[in-house]
Amino acid sequence: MREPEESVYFRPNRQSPVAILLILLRLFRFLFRQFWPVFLVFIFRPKRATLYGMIWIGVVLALFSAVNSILSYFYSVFYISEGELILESGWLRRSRLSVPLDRIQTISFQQTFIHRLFNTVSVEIDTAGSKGSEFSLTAIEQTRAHELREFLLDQRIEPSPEAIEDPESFKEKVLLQLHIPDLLKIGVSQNHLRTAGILIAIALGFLDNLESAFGDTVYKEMEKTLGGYLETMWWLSLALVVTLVFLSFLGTLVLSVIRNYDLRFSQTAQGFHVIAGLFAKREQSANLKKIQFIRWSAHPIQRWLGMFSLQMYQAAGYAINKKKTIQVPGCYWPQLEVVQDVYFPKIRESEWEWHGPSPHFFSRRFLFRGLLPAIIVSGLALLTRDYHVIPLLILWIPAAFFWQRKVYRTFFIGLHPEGLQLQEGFFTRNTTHLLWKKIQGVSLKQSPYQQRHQIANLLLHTASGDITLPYLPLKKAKPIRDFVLFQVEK
Amino acid sequence: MIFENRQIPVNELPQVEDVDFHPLAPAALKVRYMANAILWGTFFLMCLTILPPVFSSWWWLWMLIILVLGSTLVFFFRWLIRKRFEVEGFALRQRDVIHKYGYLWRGQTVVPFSRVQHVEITQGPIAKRFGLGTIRIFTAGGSSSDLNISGIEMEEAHRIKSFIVQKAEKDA
Repeated sequence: MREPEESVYFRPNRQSPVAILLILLRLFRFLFRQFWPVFLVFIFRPKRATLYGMIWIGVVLALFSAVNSILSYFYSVFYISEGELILESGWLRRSRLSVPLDRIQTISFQQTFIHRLFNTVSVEIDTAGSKGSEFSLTAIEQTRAHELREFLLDQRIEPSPEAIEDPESFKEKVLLQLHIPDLLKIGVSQNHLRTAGILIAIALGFLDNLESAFGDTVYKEMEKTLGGYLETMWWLSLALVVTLVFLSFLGTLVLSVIRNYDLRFSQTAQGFHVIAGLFAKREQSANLKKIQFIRWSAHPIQRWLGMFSLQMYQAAGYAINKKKTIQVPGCYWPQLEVVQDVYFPKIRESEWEWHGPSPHFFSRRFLFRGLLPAIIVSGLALLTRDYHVIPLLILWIPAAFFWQRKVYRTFFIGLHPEGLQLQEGFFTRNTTHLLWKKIQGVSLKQSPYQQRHQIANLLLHTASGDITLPYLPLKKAKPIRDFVLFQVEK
Repeated sequence: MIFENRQIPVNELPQVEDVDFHPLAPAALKVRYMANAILWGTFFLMCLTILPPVFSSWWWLWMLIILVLGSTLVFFFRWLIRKRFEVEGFALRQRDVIHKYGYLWRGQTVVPFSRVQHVEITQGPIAKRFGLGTIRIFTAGGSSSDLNISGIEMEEAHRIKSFIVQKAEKDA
């Protein structure tokens, strides 16, 4: 069944028939998400006449969805022609998407539960360039997907000196494989506040939808009963908070274990490769040439566990406006060293020259992040005559002062003939490495305040976003800019 | 390959500071004034037609406030446009193009020719009457590093474009 012939991709190809099912499911999910309060109403308050109407509408919708997904399947084909990958799709409205092969940046596979059942994957192809567009195939057999990727990458990469150096002699090397203890560590060190926020948002959204679904009376009744309890029994609200904290902790733990289950981070001939996930396998590969800069961070819990989370920022077409970032959430120092050495081979061959921002960096940050919020809050307190926050404010100001001074004192900019190293952050420490050759342009910017004090922000533009060196004294910023330009242009 | 890393004395690096910036065409100031007048003019016309029915009893007071505020704003922006125009300029060096812009918030962006993806010349309806155009230089860095130099005479714009395109091909 497998055709090793490469030429198969020059003829129109169809996706796996599983795509029909997936398109159908996607449509159902969309419909359900839009109309679930309506469904609730009909479950709880069935009225015979409207129920029949709704059933009819439901049947028509289901029929339409089925026809739509079958037709979508038969009408969409992909093939390679004249150095371009082409996807034709749509039956009501035909569309033709073409991507030049040499513009392809990354090819990634995703596997949901259904994909797994049928041994298929969805393929996403990202491109660069001003008219870039995202290209995705809903479902394709796994073996074929791998063939396609290899074929596309083969077509794309012109023989460069580096490629000739190690022709296939380079075997994929697994750098990191996460086991259950690592996963638990990652889970514990995730951001639980975010989950709490999501939980609250879901709860509020649920109440909101309930209100529209059941009408005012039921909701008011509920609010009255619950509200009454909350007022009289404060411990109930405390219990709620504790439950929320516990739930969000458990939630992030479970989610991050599912997301990063069996994570394998490996080094390949072209760059790096990450595969992970319990139900939905996510697979990403990064071509070393496309990695713009690397960054790793560690907050206190991670530092205590000796872990880092690593990000590799890849070039992405800015028309898509979606940065392709590869994340490895639980790295240890040995893996970081490998990545550093691969991205920045000459890192140890020269001395680093260290600089820091001007003291104005501290005073401005303290003003905007410490004093100004305090002034606004105390103004509000005066207006509402609620003075409970005043002791908090008295604590807040020295804390902000201490915090911002720490941030200022731990901000370091390292210069090297080949690239830049940025160390920042007090609570979460971030380290960024950027090679000069990845820079697309350099800007020097000054606000009125900065003009008065002879300081400037230096912005280094890359194909994956900007890196800002803030509040440099002008006397330093200008030579650094000239040095960077010299390194980029030589 | 031997790693070569000779030291470069910092004061011998080519400095952006030494560059003489080329100003925009004088007519560009007129174009910007006109665009400003049209923008604010339509805005105030809209205000004048919408607001009186909304504030039916005190409409003349609101009208007065709008007129006073409006004319102050128009003149403030006129002044800002002139200041910005005086500062703005561009320069072509052997290996890069520099654009200087902004009065209150100032900036200078340098794009090496080797990073230029493509160059475009556009022309708005007002600029067309004055024979001016905008050079847009695109890089892979996205909108933050793309250059937009507006207010260059068309003939010159085409010359600059072909120069940059040539350089970009050679340097890349």
